[in-house]
Amino acid sequence: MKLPISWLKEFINVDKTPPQIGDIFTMLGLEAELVEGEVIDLEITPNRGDALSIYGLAREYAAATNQRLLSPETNQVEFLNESSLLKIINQVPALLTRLSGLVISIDEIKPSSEKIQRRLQSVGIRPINNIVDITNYVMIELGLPLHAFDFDQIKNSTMVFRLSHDRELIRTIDERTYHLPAGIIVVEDQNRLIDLVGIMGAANSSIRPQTKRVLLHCPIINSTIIRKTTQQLGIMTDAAYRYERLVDWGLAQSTLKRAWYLIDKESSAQLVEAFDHIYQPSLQRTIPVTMAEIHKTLGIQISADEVGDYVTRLGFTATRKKTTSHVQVPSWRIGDVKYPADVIEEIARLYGYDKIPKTPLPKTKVKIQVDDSFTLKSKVSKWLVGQGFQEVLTPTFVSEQEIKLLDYKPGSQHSVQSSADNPDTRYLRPSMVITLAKVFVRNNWYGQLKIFEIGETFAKKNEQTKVCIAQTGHQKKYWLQYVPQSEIQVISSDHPLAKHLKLRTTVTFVETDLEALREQVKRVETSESTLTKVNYRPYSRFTPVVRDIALIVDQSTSTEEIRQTIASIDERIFLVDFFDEFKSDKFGPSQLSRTFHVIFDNPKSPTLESVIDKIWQQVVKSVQERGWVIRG
Amino acid sequence: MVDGHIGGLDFSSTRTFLSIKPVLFIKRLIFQVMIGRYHPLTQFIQTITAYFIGIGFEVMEGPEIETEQNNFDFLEVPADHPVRDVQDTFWLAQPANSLLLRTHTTAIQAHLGHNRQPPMRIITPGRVFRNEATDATHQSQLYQIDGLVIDQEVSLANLVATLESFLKYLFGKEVGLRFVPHHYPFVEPGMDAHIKWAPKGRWLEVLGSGMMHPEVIKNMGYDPETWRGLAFGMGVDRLMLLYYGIDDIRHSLQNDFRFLRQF
Repeated sequence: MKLPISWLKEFINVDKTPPQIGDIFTMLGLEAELVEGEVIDLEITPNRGDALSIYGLAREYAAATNQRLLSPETNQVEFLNESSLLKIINQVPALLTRLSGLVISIDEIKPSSEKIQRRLQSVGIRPINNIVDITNYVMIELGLPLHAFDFDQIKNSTMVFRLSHDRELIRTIDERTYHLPAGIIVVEDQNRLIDLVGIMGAANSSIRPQTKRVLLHCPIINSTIIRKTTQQLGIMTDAAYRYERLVDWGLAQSTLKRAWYLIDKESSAQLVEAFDHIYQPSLQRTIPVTMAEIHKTLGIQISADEVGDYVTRLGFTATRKKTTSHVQVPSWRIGDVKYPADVIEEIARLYGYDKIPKTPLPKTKVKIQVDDSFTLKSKVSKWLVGQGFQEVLTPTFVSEQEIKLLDYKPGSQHSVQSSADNPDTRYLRPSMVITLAKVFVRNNWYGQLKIFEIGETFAKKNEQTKVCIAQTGHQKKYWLQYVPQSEIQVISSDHPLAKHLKLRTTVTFVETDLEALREQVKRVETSESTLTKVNYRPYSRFTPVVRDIALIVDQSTSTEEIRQTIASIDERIFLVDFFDEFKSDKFGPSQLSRTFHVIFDNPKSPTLESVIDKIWQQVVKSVQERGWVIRG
Repeated sequence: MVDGHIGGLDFSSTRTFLSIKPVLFIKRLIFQVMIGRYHPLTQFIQTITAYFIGIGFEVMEGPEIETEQNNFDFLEVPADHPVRDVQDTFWLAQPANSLLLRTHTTAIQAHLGHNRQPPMRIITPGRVFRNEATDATHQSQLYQIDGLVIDQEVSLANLVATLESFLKYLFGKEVGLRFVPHHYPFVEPGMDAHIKWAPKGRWLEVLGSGMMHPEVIKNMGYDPETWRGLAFGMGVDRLMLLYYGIDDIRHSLQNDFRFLRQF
């Protein structure tokens, strides 16, 4: 929600800079996401419909800074209990609990003044005319949406508020036609629908250049039914957005008075009638909160007086009976504050989360049950990493074609409904063979690959945690030591899946239940883990080039030293990847061979062979200077 | 430093080195290895869970396919309220059952009540799913870790202390830290933790948390007059991006070796 500070200042004294004001709102739970000059963009969470207006935000600011709130200027208006000009029938009093309105005669429909137009533009609303602009202005300012009708378009001056029938037609102001489902609140005049209440008006009754009489109406509607409507029709408007989050029942008359004040100032107009039909009173709620509960939940020492002060500043009223405060919730918070915990949050917000003391948890006396599956995962991954496998984590989603290529039947697999950026139906992977094969294709420049993943695979019957291993070449004999033949699959380049993915090397895949390896890794000890300190480098969109170098070095020489020596030669050396080590009598005592993939990658352009050749000469020189022997 | 580990036998490596003759290779009886590594997300998950195990938490894991009941209703996220919009959902294409891919690891809370009694401290890592457009900071599949403590005496002051210690452990003692109110339906009071690197830098949200809502405690079958809880949740991919200064969250699941082999 965009908050222009100049508008905020009409309701409260503000003597801070925009960033400071932003911080005050953030500390109240209305996070200032962006401060651009004199406009702050606040994130209003779905429970705070009351904060979707300038006045609502000023109210919060007043509570935080312990100041008085200023009221907006309005005209005095007498409201009739029942309109004498309109025949209003409410068939849904439980959903539409209050309906107020003004009938205004106006000389001319024309553009609004500069001031009103600029104000609207500063919050991203397009100015239209001197009536519609005011409805939008007061919606932003006070939070209650109004709708403007051309009074003379309301046939027979009749308005029936009812639920729609299935397939009823309405053409909205934005020129769209809807066949409504049953159960949506609509207004019918003599014989047609003239409003989609709380969402958008209809074209047939909208304000037009010739309009001479205006009905401004202010319905208070149940938020659940508006939510259902927006979901069913796929419409969202500023008005619907507010209704979904609950509007303030108690603000109806003030909003209309304010609207009339602004129209009166802006245009040559007369107030013909004001009415206020109350069908059901506002929800009332009083919540008992004990001092003990406050202390236990927050872990702070706070007096009953302080508690009373905080809730009062927020517009609640508190009556104290011994150690219990009976807190009455104001109409604008009735949707959000229901339980003692909600009141306690209000207290904490004003107390200041930054002032909550830091009290560590005591040492636990509970005996820790070790989770088998998590420990088992740690052991299996350690076992595989120890054998030189690189862990990967691959996506859950695969395509229908891909599962068919591995002989899975789409009918027995889970799929998800299409998503935001992928219209194709996606299947939940029945096997990680598909996704690990893709890792091979993506990294075909690297050379031989040994990878594994521990993750979930899916069939309609169940979800299974599996281990999937993929390795270049024919590795069946090796894996038969650990898993049955049925769980090993050697896929060569003429396999349908390989052809589809353009996998050009032979790969051995092993996929087995995690549980099946429990016995095998029984004696693996899991160790402490820490995070690698890495100067992360983003890689390019080009295919990298790899050259290998095998060095015979003293075993005391660290791989880090070798890496640094080579990498520091040129920044087009993207990564010096240590991937192979072995000892042999041939190398001499305390000597071993370490092999590195030297990966060339450059964000700006593909690295040319001629360039690599030049750099390689430097690498060879540098390495030899250190006394390291290049093998081969 | 988590380096590779060494061990194992591999007779079939036929990779041609720069100028090595294959003959030399095959004749030799060699003790040869390749250096294996963990995925950086796993390194994060292992480090974070180890931290919490050290202060008395036990690890639990839940399924990726969940019921609407467990993922939302149990946690007081009603179907007909815009609060559902905050987490775009992948519904399984099965009209009868309202099954979905879990949108948060918080769904674990629904699994706790039946099997055990409080007090408890639980940490739960796992993959979660968001049905939203993918870009440099948004992915449809990501990793989260949720934690909770249920006991007779546990307060917001405990929560703040726990999160502060954890964040300072992860990001260093100098990291800027602040706690601000935030709304989640399953905690009340609710809270976000923000970190900041440099004095002039931006605040970045890293953790959602709060006191477990008494209604959720009731849903678990515990008496909210006796038992209270604190809960927190974090996005591991996001933490990893911040920790290493990684440019694009999509690297996590792309598994380019130029990414993986840096860690």
